[in-house]
Amino acid sequence: MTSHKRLPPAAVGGGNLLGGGRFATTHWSLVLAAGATGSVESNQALATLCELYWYPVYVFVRRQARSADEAADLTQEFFTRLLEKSFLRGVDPERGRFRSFLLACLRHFLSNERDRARTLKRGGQYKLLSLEIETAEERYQLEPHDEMTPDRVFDRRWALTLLDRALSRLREEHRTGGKSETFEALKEFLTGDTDMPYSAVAGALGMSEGAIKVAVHRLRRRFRDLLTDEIAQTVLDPHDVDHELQHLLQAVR
Amino acid sequence: VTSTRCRRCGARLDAAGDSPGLCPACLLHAAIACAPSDDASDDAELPYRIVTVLGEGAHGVTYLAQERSARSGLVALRLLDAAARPAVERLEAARAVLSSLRHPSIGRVLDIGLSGTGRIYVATEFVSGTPFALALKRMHGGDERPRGHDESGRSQGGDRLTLARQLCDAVRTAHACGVLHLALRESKIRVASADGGGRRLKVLDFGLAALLDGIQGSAADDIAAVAALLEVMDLDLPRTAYGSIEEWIAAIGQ
Repeated sequence: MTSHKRLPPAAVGGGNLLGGGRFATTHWSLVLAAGATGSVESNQALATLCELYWYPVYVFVRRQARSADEAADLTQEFFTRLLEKSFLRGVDPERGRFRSFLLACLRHFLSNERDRARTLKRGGQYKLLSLEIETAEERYQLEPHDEMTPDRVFDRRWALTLLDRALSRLREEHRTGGKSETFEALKEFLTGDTDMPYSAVAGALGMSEGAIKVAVHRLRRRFRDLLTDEIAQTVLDPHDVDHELQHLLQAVR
Repeated sequence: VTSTRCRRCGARLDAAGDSPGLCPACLLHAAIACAPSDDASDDAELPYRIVTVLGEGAHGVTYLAQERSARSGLVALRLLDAAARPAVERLEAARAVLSSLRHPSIGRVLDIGLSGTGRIYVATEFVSGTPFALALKRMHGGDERPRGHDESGRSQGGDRLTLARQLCDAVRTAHACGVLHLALRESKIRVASADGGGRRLKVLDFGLAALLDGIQGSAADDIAAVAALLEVMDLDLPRTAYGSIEEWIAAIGQ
């Protein structure tokens, strides 16, 4: 067999993920760097992360709450405290994945809440985030109601949120480029389904089969770039992106 | 809520998301498979220069490429995903067998190796002919030529018989060398112009289904696939239950 120089796995995987250069500053690295004291930028970064990933939190809470109202209140209060940064004290930056951090904080928060008398009106004192909690229950009713544990449900919904986010950005890029029709016709190919004939889509879009193959290849690569970018915003170390991808895959299987 | 599951991998679909029809597990798997190091055009140590993308399969991308030393012409270069990596020992053994497989109707495996980033590549003969289904359609007058003869006046039924013989002979030769196809279908066949005129059927990817995709099977699977293809070719053969390639060839006529 012809053999060429092989690079160590780290050099192959991590360095290329964000364009081959130094790992860029991400939302989560900004938050960790600022610590509990915070800064304007880190506060904004944390708010952005919370607005993106509030629904997995709601699902986790809802699995254990007695009602939708209780879950909504707890979720709102959790994020309020998170943004007050009381949880950020004592975070180990060396173990910095936002997903793990958020879930650990959430478990701690709910455990404390169970021990407290629940006579106080939760949440609503001041809303720091524009969370669409009012619509959460409607969405939650579409979730599979089975034996999945709250942790498993959280991880699955986290993965689905990331995928939705990457798909949404990809769709928007095509829309602004005047290629919405192309995106809608080709998005099914993002799953790597090789049984679907290119010919049917080629006819509909007025493109050759060869052009469709190239377009699908580019679409998949762009989707991968957007997905890894979204994940990168939640981790500190570039190598964690690959680990997160594998974790997410396990979560949705 | 009763969850719907993916027909390919069995994973649960997301009814609450923005794209409920897209399987999240397949999406993630495809994204992982499409790792940046798949971008062969950036791999300076790959001994092939990438010309363009030919297609994308379950385990990697196939490119039209040219050997950097320019000793040979264009090849179809398949670069495997990192996750789809058979054992090196299996590749070594397969390389020896597949590169020795020579038949005018079998697309040759030219090289199997490791890229500069440690990815496995498979270079095969690039066949620029017509897809099998399209070639058959034309033979059946699908492009509105007078039924029964092609543009040069040759009998289309005769052409189909010629292609059928070539198909059977290719499979027989490969089996004699101990190589099974195991993924034989219309998309694995192209029809090119033969040296000296006429048509030459080419079966692509012989031996690669087992090696790269881990598909297991027997010669009987290939024979069943040939039978299905002969059926598609509408050859008016006697409807006998044939048990071997030899019987098919006898029925077609040498």
